[in-house]
Amino acid sequence: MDEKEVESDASEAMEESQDAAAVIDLTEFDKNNSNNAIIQSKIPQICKDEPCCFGIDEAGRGPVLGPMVYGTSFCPISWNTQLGELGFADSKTLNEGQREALMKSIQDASDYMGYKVEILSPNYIANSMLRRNKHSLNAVSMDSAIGLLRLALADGVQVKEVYVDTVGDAKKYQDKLKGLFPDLDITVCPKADSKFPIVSAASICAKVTRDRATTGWKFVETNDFDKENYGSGYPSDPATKKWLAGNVDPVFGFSQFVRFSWSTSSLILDDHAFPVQWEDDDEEEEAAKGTASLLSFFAPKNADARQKKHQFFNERDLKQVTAM
Amino acid sequence: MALCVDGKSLESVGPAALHLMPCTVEGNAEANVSQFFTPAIRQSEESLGTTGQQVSFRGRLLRGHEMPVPEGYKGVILKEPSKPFTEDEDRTLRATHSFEKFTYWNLETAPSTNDTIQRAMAWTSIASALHSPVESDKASLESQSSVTGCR
Repeated sequence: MDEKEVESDASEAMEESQDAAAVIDLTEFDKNNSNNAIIQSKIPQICKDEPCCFGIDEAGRGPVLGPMVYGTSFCPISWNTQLGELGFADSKTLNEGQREALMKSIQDASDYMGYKVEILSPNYIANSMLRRNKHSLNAVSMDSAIGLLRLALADGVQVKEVYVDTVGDAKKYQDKLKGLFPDLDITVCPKADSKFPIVSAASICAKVTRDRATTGWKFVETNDFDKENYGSGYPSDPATKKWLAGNVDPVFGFSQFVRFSWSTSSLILDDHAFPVQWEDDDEEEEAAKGTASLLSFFAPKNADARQKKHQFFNERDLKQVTAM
Repeated sequence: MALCVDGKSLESVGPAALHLMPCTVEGNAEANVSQFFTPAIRQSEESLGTTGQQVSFRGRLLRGHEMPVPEGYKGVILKEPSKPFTEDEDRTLRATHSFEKFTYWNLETAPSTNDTIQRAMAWTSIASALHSPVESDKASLESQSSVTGCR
């Protein structure tokens, strides 16, 4: 490593330690929070030279509000013991202050530790889950994890061991990852964040980013509704429930901050907003019906042929209007 | 019974921003378009150099395209201020807005010239070609000679 780089890294660390809080730059995401954004650290030189372990975890899977965040972090395998000493644990067992402090120590360890975080916007989550060809939350999660791992490999991180925390089917997930990355040692298991410090670090990156992005949400909608008292975003939080019930628009439903694909939000819309019919609404029903009844082939052809419009007009939805 | 359009109203109307949605909203009320919908419209990333737009409605992805009203035409939104009491009564429609372009939105698929609305708008030029009188004698002479040629 050249000396200049060491110097600049050291001076940056000095500056950061004067400022107590970890810095997470959300500018890119805030510019367009309809889409996803990736936030990442610099890659320490040692991670390009030595075999590394790579942890993956998520935060904000359950909430009906705000983004879901995928976090990854990595460091040389030889540094794993030092990592344990930093006091990482499952982000859910830590309080906000402890998580913030650990996020800061991850950033301070920038000479041997790096991270990459993807913010999956609530709009992207809803768009994916409500798509014609439905894309489940598990599939969305897996895409994000795979994308972040690919990005790290492309950046030259010498990934050797991968640890993934999952709530889904661990075996299926592991097989899929092994198929995509046959050269890596991959471990997928539930509660990986309490077993492997590198996954704990990833879970902290994810959780702190999720909290920051949610607390300071920049609403794209310009009308005057309550843009503050939405609580934690969990469906069980009374503040969140109250906010959802009180901020329904009869036509548009909710702000893009809300995951429309959650039953919590769709049930409220069923009761308090206009019903909406889509062109693909009955596709599922039709598929369930199967083939047409035999009798339908013998049914009289309806309508007088003279009254039928030419195909040209039918294809263009053009009709003559003679009455109103 | 006659159906009339109030001619004076056609002159005084202001322009409206129009969105043709790929869904039916089962309600009749003013929609807060400028505050909820318009600010969320983005330029599509995948269609470089084109005017592809995207937005979400009720959590679903829409892709849109701005269409001009066919040349020589003007778009008007008409309302019937008072419904007739009997079938024999004359009815009057009043223009509330006019438009020279509108945005149509597809559910998830990128707009293309195959879309029904784009094809429907092309009808106006086909219709004028079909229905305009054959102007010069030259054309009819040509067609006659081509018929003779066939013999």
